[in-house]
Amino acid sequence: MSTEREPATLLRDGMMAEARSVTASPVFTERIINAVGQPARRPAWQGWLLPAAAAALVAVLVAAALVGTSLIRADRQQPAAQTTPPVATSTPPAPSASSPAPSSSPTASSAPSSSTSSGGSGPVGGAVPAGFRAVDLTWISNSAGWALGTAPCGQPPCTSIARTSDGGKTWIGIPAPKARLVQTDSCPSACDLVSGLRFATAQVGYAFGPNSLFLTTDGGASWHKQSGGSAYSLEIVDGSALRVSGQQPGCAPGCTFSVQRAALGSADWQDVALPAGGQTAGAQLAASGRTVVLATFGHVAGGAENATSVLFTSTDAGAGWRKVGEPCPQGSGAAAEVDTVAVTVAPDGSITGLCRPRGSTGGQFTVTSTDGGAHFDAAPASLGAATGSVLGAASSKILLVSLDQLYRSTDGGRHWQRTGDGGPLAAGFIGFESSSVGRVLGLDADGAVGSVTVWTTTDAGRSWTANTFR
Amino acid sequence: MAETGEFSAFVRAHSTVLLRSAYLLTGDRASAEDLVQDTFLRLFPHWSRVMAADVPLAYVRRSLMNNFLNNRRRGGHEVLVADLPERGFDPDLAGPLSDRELVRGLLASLPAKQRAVLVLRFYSGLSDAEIAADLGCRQGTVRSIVSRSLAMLRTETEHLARPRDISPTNGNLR
Repeated sequence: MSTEREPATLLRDGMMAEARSVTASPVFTERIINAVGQPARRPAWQGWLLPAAAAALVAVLVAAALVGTSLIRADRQQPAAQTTPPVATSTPPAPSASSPAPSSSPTASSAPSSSTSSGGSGPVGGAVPAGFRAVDLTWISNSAGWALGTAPCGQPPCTSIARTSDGGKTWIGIPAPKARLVQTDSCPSACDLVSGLRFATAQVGYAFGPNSLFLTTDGGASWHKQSGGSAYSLEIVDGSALRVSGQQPGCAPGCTFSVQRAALGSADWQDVALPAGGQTAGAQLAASGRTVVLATFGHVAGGAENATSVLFTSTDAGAGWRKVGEPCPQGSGAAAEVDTVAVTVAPDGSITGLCRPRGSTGGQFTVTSTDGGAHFDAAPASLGAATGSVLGAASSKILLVSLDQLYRSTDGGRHWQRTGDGGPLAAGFIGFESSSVGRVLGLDADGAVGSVTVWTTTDAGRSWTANTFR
Repeated sequence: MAETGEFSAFVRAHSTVLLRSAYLLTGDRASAEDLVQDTFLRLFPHWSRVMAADVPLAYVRRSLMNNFLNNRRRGGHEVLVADLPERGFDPDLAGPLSDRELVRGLLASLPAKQRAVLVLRFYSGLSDAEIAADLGCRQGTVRSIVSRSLAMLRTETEHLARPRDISPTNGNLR
């Protein structure tokens, strides 16, 4: 490191640390918003020059406002019987035994080329529930997307779903399945848990978790629990749904996973043949186009050794699978083991994994395959040791990873730059619908689970636009 | 009104990052909040122009910087002092505290425009050309300010790293 660089690094780190000590409180932001809503202060002379006229004007305005308000209320009450409440409660399923499991790392669902939008846009919906925070996103086009999240409510489950039809600029609340959210809720007794959401068309969608799977075929107006179904991870691939489920609900480390496929909107899940030898402590499915990767994770707690991950890849939409094993090159010495902790598939079909040296402070790095998983190229270990496992890719070269901050590489992971203050500081979700359009759920400074902001890029992560769920 | 909705969404999404820039510029939270709020209130009547910009956040940040510099130029309320105010020690910040103190001291010792250059470079991550465009100065000026600031910081860190002498007569630290 040159002597020129040291003060620069110190300055950068010091400024970041100093800046992070302040956060805009909701009181502060609302104060600004309310301030612009106030009428400009009138000069003093206006107060006494026309008192009678002003009083008359106020009286007229108040009367008009009262009449207008009553008309608006009447107008809103009219369709209320047909409008679904924003905090969704539909099709109550029979509860089943459950236990929390690791949530799968998110990857945006890609719109299958053969997706069959029926043209309808689902339920009318209402306002997004106040305080809504999203944990997962799914898109069927650059404009149509859904967010799974939660919002404060009187009686759990408070799971909610928001929908946009303008690329994320505005959102409405639609019904959600009656299930708790893995990311935020514990389960006091038997209850259904969901952690992810995928829509295949404007009508067909899946809300899934470690012990339950809900299906809608009417755009979310109603959700139906699938008998005996669950999904640790689920993706829409080439006109069908692929899911990873465990042997039993709430599969703990030690059980095996199976991959199943169903036609869109169908409850008939068929096993997909997979080479033997997967790991047993968690699984993540990622897909784009006809390329699919399944990562199964080892149980690394308690000093377990040789718990590297095992990957399986498919380039024919899950019909045939290749067992890749652990694509991360293994190290030597005390920190010999290197594990894949997240995977993603870019719209160009390239597969990227995030590699983390086991239990050490060594740098993390990415591995990328452009031939369906036959070969993986490892980038230098230039990512530092901060934990985090949210990964996204616009292509084999343009990668995003969220560790302590959100970093972007334009050369396949060889060099990384933080996205800076013009974009999300860190991410709980990263997904790309195309090589240029992507979404991030930012991690908010208050540290709460979920995000109030969805960030959109249309230039593969170079610049970002923020929208809130309202 | 759609414009108000856009404005509200923008404020909620970007206030923290703007407040942080403002905090680095002003050195205290109350002044930073005033600066951010004043910037938003000035921009609101022309909000459609903000949203039409290539990067609306960059537009607002540029306005914030200019607002800050104009306030200082008008002889606002800045008081440069030689000694930094005492701050309570926060054990949670034990690691980065020295970096923060150094940076705080450096920023406080600089004139407003130089402070703005450093914040734009090292916090916002802008290039020389972008900083020059934002602040209406030449790129050479930006490079010079950055270079001199880094030299000051290097001198300061070397001074802190140097072992302190112990007086043989009274044993006190000099």
